[in-house]
Amino acid sequence: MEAMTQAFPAVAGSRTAARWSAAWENAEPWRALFAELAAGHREALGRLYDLASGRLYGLALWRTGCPEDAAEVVQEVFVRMAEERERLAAVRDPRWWLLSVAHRLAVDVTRRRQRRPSEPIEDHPHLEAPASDRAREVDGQRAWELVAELSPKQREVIFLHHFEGMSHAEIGRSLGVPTFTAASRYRLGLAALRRLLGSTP
Amino acid sequence: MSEPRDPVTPLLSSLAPSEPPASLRARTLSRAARVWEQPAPPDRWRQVRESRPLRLAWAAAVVALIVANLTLPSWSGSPAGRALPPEVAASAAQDRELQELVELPRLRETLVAIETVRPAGVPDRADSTDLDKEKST
Repeated sequence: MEAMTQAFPAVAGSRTAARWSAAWENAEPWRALFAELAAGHREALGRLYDLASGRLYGLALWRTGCPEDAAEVVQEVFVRMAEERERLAAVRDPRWWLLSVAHRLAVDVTRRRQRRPSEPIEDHPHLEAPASDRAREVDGQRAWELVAELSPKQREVIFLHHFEGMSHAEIGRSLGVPTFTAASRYRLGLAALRRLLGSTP
Repeated sequence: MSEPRDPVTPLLSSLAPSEPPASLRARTLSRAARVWEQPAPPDRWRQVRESRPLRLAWAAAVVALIVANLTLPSWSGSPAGRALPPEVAASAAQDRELQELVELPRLRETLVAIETVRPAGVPDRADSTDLDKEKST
């Protein structure tokens, strides 16, 4: 395990949870955008897309493991917003609303996909190295191969905790599960990764 | 015992999840715009309220419930003031006897203790019958 973890050294200046969460900390811009949508301003959809698409796409990608499905989820979230625009003003916290809708849609997509053949998840490496450190691309591929071994639920929680910097309580709130369940999934995911790292030659 | 090291941080450090493809923005917004142009689907409760067949069905159900409540006899509790048919009364009496047979009084712990803990010198039933035999001979 030690040898393997040394193969993934920390690189400074990477895109981390801090950058990803910068737009997430304050709920007010999100509420303002939802209020605009509820008032009938369609152009707010574009600004909302710029704010939320990365997070929604990442969540759906880590849950479904398929870029096409993740793109479908993002589109569906925005379709839902367009359909339910009159009720958006009543949403207390748009951030949790968006994540919950994306999560439910991703679960539905995963269920549907189980009924049809799909490519193995490892075939789509979904971890990118920074442009300044292209040598890490191989590491990204290897890391994704390990992550792909986890269950979708564990992947989802690890994504939200590690990349989005969300607490277990916040994860539980957005996925609609108790905090304990979110923490438990994260812990089990870590244990599985530790095991996989230990068995990696 | 120390906490095992978090394997995620070194594994995923400096890596980032894939960004959505550039074409997704246009696709998403155009699809949402198409839905936006359509009239918003009415609220489900409003649909129920505004649907004539559903309103009629609801009214019919309420009327049926009220009529049933007024006309059907109440079966809860004992039918006080009402004579039971003889066959029903006979079966009820049988049931009571059966219930008494089934519901035997429970053995109490204190009684069990009295039976089993016998004072010294007091013979049990087998011994006492032997003594009785000796006396008779």
